Parts: sequence; structure tokens; C-alpha cells
Amino acid sequence: MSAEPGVPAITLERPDLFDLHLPAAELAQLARPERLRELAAAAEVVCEDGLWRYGSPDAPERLLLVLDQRGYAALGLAGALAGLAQRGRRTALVRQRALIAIAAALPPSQLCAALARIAPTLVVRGAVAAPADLALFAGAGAATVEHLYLSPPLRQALWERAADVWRPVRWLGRPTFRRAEALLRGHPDYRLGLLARVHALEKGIALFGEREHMLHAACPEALPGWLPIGEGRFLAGPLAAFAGPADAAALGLHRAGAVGMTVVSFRPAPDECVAAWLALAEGALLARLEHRDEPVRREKREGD
Amino acid sequence: MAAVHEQQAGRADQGAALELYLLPHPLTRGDVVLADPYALDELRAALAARAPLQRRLFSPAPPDDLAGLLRREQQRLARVLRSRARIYLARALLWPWVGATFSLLLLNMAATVGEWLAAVPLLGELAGPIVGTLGFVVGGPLLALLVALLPFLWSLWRARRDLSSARILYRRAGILSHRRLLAAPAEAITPQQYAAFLQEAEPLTREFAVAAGAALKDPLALLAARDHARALYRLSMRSALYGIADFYHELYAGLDALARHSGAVALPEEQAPAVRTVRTLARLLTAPFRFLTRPLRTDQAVDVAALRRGRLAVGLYDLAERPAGRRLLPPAAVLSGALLFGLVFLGLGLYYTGPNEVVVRVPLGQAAVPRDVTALGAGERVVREPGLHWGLPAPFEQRIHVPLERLRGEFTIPFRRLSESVGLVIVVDAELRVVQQETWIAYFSRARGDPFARLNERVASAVQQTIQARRSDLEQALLRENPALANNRQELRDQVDARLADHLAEIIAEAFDQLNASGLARETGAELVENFTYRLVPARI
Repeated sequence: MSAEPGVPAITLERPDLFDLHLPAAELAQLARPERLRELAAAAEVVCEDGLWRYGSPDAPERLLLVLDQRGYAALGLAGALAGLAQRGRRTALVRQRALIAIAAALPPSQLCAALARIAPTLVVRGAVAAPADLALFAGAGAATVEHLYLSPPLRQALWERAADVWRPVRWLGRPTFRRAEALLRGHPDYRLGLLARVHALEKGIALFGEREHMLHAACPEALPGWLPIGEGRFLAGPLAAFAGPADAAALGLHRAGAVGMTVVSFRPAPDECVAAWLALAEGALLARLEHRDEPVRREKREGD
Repeated sequence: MAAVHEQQAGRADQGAALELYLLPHPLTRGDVVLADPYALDELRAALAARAPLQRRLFSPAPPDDLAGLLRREQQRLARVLRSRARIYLARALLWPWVGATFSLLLLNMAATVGEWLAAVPLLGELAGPIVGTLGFVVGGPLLALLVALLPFLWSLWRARRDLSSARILYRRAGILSHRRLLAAPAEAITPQQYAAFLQEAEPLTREFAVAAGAALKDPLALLAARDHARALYRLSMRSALYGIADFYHELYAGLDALARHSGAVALPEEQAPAVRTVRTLARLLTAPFRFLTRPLRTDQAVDVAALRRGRLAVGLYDLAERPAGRRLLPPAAVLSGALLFGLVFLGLGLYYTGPNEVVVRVPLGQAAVPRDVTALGAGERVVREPGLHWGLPAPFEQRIHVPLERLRGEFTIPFRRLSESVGLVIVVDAELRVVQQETWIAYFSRARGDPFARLNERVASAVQQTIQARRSDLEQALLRENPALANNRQELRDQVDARLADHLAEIIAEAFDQLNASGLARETGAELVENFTYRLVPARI
């Protein structure tokens, strides 16, 4: 077997970027300013104006991870830096092809400036569900609210048929999202959330699942404006679109054309929240890197 | 709601502007003018309100003949929209033919499918007749009619949707080529952000052109073109130029779809292997159909045929200098639909008459009217010549193949009750011999091709009468042999039944003789032959 001429002879393994399973106490230890500085130095992460940057400034894929949840931002940053510091060599390929910027507890004005400076292709924001939703979906894992560019006819079709798309269709007692999938199948960024979710599941992260979807279908006012498009995946609905970008991920879409993803954790424990945010962000970035990807290599037979 | 209308009316009164963007052509040298086709609807209200209109061209430098350029571009864009509208119109015109064809196929094939289904164990017995009669057996003629018309009704719904899309596009084209808009004052403007955008987009556009030129041959180039399109989309979003961001996003989505369908991208394992195999098979099977209907596709993919010719067209954006008019597409769709329907109609009308059979053609409505069983109806025709023939397919005409020689079938006759619901039945595999052709043809066609089912009651009655007569004689004989049986009726009955079972062949032959002698041939045109076999089987009675 030989690669075709012109195809770079690299294989992209799925490297781990962040530390997802650090206990809360250890995260708290690492989140102290001096430890963060040490980790940043070890991971070759640069901090400028509250923005922690890792990777090549000219990289084609650019992830902006926004941690604005008060109290958890430093923990999330610690988990991310700890992973990058430990796996410096193994993430060399990611360093070449991606830029990871982490905005920890950045005020909105600086966030807009960061968006302009980084020009991200992917914005992931970590959030914790509202107390009422936490009570209703107690024990549920993390869900993602995606902010995708919707062309006018697609937006119109989605909003017009929102009532149909809203509730998952049951097939043999399981929820399916065929209607939403049929509309969004052609969207180039629709698979990204799915792959991020697959990655997070592989890493053992608890995610919003079937049971919660059935609960949501019975009580749709619980998560207003969230349009279910897949298991554990939602689209910011017409209400959010009408209200304008009120979220860092939505801002990323409107200001930079990035794919926005708000990771909402329904488990308030800090280590679980941080693990879910980092796992889904990592999954989305790796999926994007694989997605840009190697073209399929057609194996040549002997004698060809 | 009223307030919203007032607000919209107020906005319309203030006037509206058509915004066009002069961009470097993504594929070739020179520039191209782009308008957001979805923003045109806003101009409609202003046109209706006779509000002042304006045309704005975003360009790096004012062109020499601005009015002429805008006029030409408006007409070109209107042509693009009309061309696209014709695809929808053609689809709307084709759908009813497709629906009618499927309804016709359903009506003609349901009986055959029902027969196949009936052979499936367990469910087949239940589902076969329901499918075979289009639900007639459970819902009557209304349900059967509804099921038969279902494909046609579905096609009408699809046609309505496509017609609505065509109307919207025609309306947008009408707005662009409206004389008031063509004569509206024009101005060229260059906002700072637009100039910065063009400057930043220039190298990206050049790289896109190189990659897109080779995209159909080289998967790497295709991926590069897709990434450049995405970069241009993000750049236009960053510059808040949403009108052109949509174009670049369409381009990105179209090239991404092309990369996925062409296999340039190794898709991740999103589906189970079985699902993938089924989908691949379905794609292979429907490939000829998709090839034939390619001109009618309205998805947002990049037009590969256009790209091969060095043109760029994706969704509603067609950058060709002289876009295809597709004027012949709607009439071609009507002709193709009619051709499809005609071919299926002709094909379903073909039938073959064997050497020892005739075919009775029953026109629509005749079959439902009960008439004399010994004569054919006025409109019914008998085809006697062997060979290939043609007649109207169902539901316009029903064809019944009538065998003229011997015909074998089964009669089911209750013999003895074993419990409340289970008993022994005699299944007689009998033969009918045609003796009076004309009567037989009429009888067979009335019996809907199953004379045994129609004769069953009569044969069963004759056999049971014979059994009853013999039973009395046997009971007397047994009581004479063993008078004690008079006090044990059950034992007596068992012994009688056992002896009757030993003489069933005689009994059936006697019953057949009686039936033949009673003028069965006069009524049916056939007589029962003594060449039969029988068996006793337990069954629900």
C-alpha cells in the first residue's frame, strides 16, 4: 500500500487534549494562580489580556473555549492546562493545525475583542443549567445547544415546522429526531455536535439522554427555545434567534461565523461540569480536525 | 398583529433599497454582481405601497455605466430565479403523473402482492386479503378507494408544495425585473468594511479558484475549495456582510456535500453497518432514477455539470453570465410524466390468452352488478383467440381468465364436531369438467375466478344430506346388532361416524352423482368428475 502522490503521509490519531477526570479537590489545587502559571509554562500556553492561547496563531482551526461560569472558570482552565501540559508531545499535531484559546472569566467587552482577535472557527461555552431545570432533569448529563448558520429557507423551514420538529418522534419507545435530521442533514456543521457527543461518551462523560428527552417532550416549557435536533443536542430556537446573540457561542456565530456550542451541564458538581465542558470542546475540535481531514486513501493494488 | 402590519406598512412607505454586491468572480477573471435572493421579499411591500425605491451597489470603485450594469445584472438575476422556478414548476407538473402511475400500479398489482403475502406463514393469512383488496375486506369500498388514490393524493400534495415554491421564485424574479425597480435611482458605495473585506478576500478567492478548478478530479483540491469557501463565509460574517455570507455558506455547504458524496471525506462511523449496507443498496438501486431526474433536483448542492464547464452554480446562486433558461423543462416534465403513465398503462393492459382458456373482459361497474349467473352481461366481452392481447387495465376493466378444460380445486365439508369450536372436516380435492362452454364462462366470471368457493355450500349440503341418510340406516343397523347402544348415544354416534368415515369415498361419489343429475351442468356449464381424493382434517368450525 502506498499513499497517492500529494496526500500528506500523516495519520491523525485521536489525542487527548484536556484532563477530564480530575477530582474537584485536585482541580481546586491546580486552579491557584501560581499553579496555573506553572502549568501554562509547561504547556507553552501564552496568556494575554485574560486569554490563554495554545497552538499556532496561523492554524486553520481555532477553538475559543469560553468559561464564564463564576467559580468554575478557574477549575475548567486548570483541567485544560493540566492536560495540555502533560501531553505536550502527543498533541504536537494539534498544535500545528489548531489554535486553542481559553477565555476564563472574561468580561463581555473583552470577549468581543477576543472574538475579533482570534477569529475562531468554533466557540464552545461552558454553562450550568438554571436551578429549575436542574431540579427537573436531576442527574441528567450535559446537553449541547448548537448555534449553526442557517440559510433563510432552512431557517424558515425549521421555524415553520418547529411544532413538528419540537417533540422527538417515538420509535419502539425510543425518541428519534428524524424530522430535524431530515432538515439539517445537508448542513455541513450538523455532524460536528454528533461527533463531539460520541467523543464525550467514549470518555465516560454523562450526557443528556433518551430518558431526559422523553421528559422534555412531556414538558417542553422546561427548556424554552431549545429545539431538539439529536440525542442530547439542541438548536437555539426562534426565540433565541429573535432575541439576538445573548450567549458567547451565539456571539461567535454572529461576529465570526464560527460554529457555536453551549455545553449546559445538568450536574452542578464542579468536577462533573468541567469534565463535560472540556470533553465536548475537545470532541468538537478533534472532530473538526478529522473532518478537515485526510481524503480517503484508495489503496493501490500491486501492479497498478 | 395589527400593530406588526402597521409597522411593516410604515417601513414600506419609507421606501426600500435593492442591495447588490460587486465581488471578484470566485472562478474566473472579472467581477460578478451578487444579490441576496431572500432579501427581495422585503422590496415587494415597498413596490406594492408605491414607496420610493433605490438601488445600491457595494463596489470597490464606481463602475462607468452603473445604471446599465445594474439593469443587466437585475435581468440576469431574474433569469436565474425564473430558471430555478421552472424546475419547481416542472416538478409540480410531473408529480400528478407519477402519483397517477403509482395508483394505477397499486390497483393492478395489489391482488398479486396479496396472493404472495397470503403465502407467508402466520401473518400472511391476515395481511394477504387486506393488501390484496386494498383494505376492502376491513373498510369496504371507501377505504379501498382511499388506499388506491393515496399515491395520487400524496403526489398532489407534493405538487402543491413545488408550485408554491415556483410561485415565490417567479414573484422574486418579477420584483427584480419590475420596471419601477429597473428605473430606480442607483448609487455605488464603498463602505470601509466592504473595502477591507474585498482586500482580505482577494487572496482567498484566488486560491478558491485554483482549488475549485481541480475539485472534480482531485479530492484534496475539493477539500481545499470547501475550506476556502468556509473561510470566505467566515470573513463575510466578520465583516457583517450577511447578504454575501449566505452565498459563501451555500458554497461551503454545497462543496461539503460534494466531498461527502464523492467519497473524498472518510465519513465517521455514524451508523450501524447494517444500516449503511441497506442505504448503499438503496442508493445503488435508485441510481438510474436519480440520474433521470437530475434536471429536476432542487437541493442546495453545487451543480457539478456547471462546474465541469467552468461555471459556478449553487442553490439560488448561479454566477453564469447567461444562465440556463430551462424554458423547455416544464413541457418536458409533462411529456415525460405522460410518457411514464402511458407506458405503464399500455404495459398493464397487455395480457396473454392460453390455448385452453378464454378471457372475459368486464368493464368498470359491470362486475359489481349481480345478474343471471348463466349469461354474460351486455358490456362483457369474451376473448377466445389465443395469443397476446391488449385491453384497458384495472380499474377500467377487469379480466378473468376462464379455463375451458378440467379444473381442480378443493371443497371443505364439515363432518363431525369434536368440541365447541373444533371439528373434523372433509377436504375434497375434486375436479370439474366443462360440458357447456358458454354457461361455464358466465358462471366462472360471476364466481370471480373461484367456482369452487361458490359451489362449496352446495356440495357440502349434498354430501351432508347423503351422510345424514346413511347415518340413520347405520344407527338402525347398529342398534339391531347391539341394542345396549340405545342407552349410550355417544358410543352409538362414535361407531356410526367410524363406519361413515370408512365409506366416505362412496358417499362423496353419490353426492356428486346427485348434484350432476340435479342439473349442475345446466347452471354452471360443468360437472363434477368422480376422479377425486379426500382427507379428514381437524379444523375450527
